[in-house]
Amino acid sequence: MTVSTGLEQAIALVSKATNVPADSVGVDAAVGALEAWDSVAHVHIMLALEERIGRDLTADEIADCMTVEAIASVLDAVTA
Amino acid sequence: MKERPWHRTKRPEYRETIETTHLRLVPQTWLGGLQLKLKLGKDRTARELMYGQNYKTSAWRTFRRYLLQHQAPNGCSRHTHAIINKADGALIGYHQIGLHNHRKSTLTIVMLRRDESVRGFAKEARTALLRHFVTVAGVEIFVGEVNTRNFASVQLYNQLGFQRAGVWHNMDFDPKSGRVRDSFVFELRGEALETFMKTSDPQAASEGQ
Repeated sequence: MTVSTGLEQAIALVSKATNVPADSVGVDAAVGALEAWDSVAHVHIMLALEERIGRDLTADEIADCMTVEAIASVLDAVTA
Repeated sequence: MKERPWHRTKRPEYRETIETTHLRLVPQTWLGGLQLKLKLGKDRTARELMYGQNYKTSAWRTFRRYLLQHQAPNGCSRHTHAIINKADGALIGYHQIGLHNHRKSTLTIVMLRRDESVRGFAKEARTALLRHFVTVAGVEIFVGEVNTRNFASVQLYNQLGFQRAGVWHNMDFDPKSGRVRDSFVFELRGEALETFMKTSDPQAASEGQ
């Protein structure tokens, strides 16, 4: 069984919320850079992320989670 | 005669209707502000929009809230615009800009509809209004305060180039979870405002194509 990394999970979250294929969501994808990552998609991403980590995001995490990398770091911190 | 301060001077430019690609932004009077409150009271309250919860309300309660709390548009230091979809003429929200001393401005937006059909319209409306007030009023600082749980607005501020100035702790009570929530303070000023004005210029965008 393969365990997906935080980055893979983050890309999957963004891909699902924005309806963009995972192959097209790069590591550098961010609010503003990815056109489909609008406010509605962002709400879905944040709620899915909270569901995944099992707790509410902190204010700092909410402010930082504007890139795939930042979302991945939150997921990594939980699994670590 | 003593000259009125900048943020208390009425200008006809403030009362202009603004047209964007998809929207018509119509300035409101105090009556429009009351209609906004009644509309919100009838349909959904601002809190309900944010948390998706139902609150019992009435026209009288809404009117009392308007008198006591609402910053009524006065065409002078408080400007409310109705956001109307050009395609079907439907009212989809309101945007309010408050002018303060030191060329500072505060922002509020309420979207009456939040579905696929109005996707991107909040950004379009806010961009047009920020540009308008920088141009006609010479605003130098925009300040926005938003509940940290309001993910859509946080994303909108980030997308427009606002920078996080700080966090107000324990600012708002979230009745859904029963917890007290923090609020972000965002600001747009200086180089960030210049960048916003350059990147959001519709003329430059059309020339670039």
